Amino acid sequence: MNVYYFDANALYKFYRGQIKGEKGSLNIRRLASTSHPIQISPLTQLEYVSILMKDFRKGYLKKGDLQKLIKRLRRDVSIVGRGTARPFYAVSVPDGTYKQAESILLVHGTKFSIGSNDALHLAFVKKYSASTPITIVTSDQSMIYICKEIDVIHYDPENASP
Amino acid sequence: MEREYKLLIVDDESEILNTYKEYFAKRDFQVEVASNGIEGLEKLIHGEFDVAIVDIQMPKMNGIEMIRLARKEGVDTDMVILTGHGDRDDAVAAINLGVSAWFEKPSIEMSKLKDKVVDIAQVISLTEVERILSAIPNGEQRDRL
Repeated sequence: MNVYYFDANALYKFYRGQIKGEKGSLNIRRLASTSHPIQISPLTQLEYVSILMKDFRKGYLKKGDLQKLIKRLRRDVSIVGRGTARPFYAVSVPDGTYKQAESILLVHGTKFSIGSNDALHLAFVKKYSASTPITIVTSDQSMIYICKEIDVIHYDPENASP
Repeated sequence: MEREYKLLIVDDESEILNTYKEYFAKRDFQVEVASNGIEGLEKLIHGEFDVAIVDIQMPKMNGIEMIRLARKEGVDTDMVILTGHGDRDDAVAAINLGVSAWFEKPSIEMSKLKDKVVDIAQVISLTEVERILSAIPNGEQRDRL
């Protein structure tokens, strides 16, 4: 069974659904609605909440809606092995993830435009893929290039079908 | 329902436990039961439930105490409590513990209880989430992600 990993971009697209003129959201919904377990990390959750906070500060979200969106995320995230029907499950940070992220930045940051959070997402997936192959869901071209370089499987929802 | 929600029912009356369990299981809930507050607390801590229906009056540990200890352990499961008729003190204590709803046990309409549990479990529908987030200008999101 394929295991997919969502970064905050993918998670946001899942919740926002299909927007006219934007590719990828429908494929992301399809992924999450199948029996594939969708893995997310604490970083994914944190980044998503940070995005919502920014929306609130800019006046795009009301306080009540902000609270509901955050609570909805919590309700949708399971902890591994508890057998619920929640669409996402959270994994903890493996040892050495930050070191691995730093290595990714040092080796690939001179050629590709990636930030520290991108490197951390890649490091998560690389670490977890050591035991079970995990597919990172991303449409970011720099991330995709680095995935190829470091042997991480990727799925680009904007340019593929599940 | 968007998905199968996980429900815990805590009550010392076996007839109520069985009736409620059967009712909710038939409506696509994943149901577990506990017959007292101690067992309920144990299941809440380890079970990742969306909602718990909790009777207040129970031997060993009452419902209010169970919820209080669960919150202390970091359990964020939403609680619906069942009170005796006119038991306002219990209701007030429950509200102070962040209980989502309460029903008076002698006059419960199961369909209303079920609708409330679904509302609470879902928090906000995916359609509503979409409506809220899609109203945010597209360029804004591109810049942030």
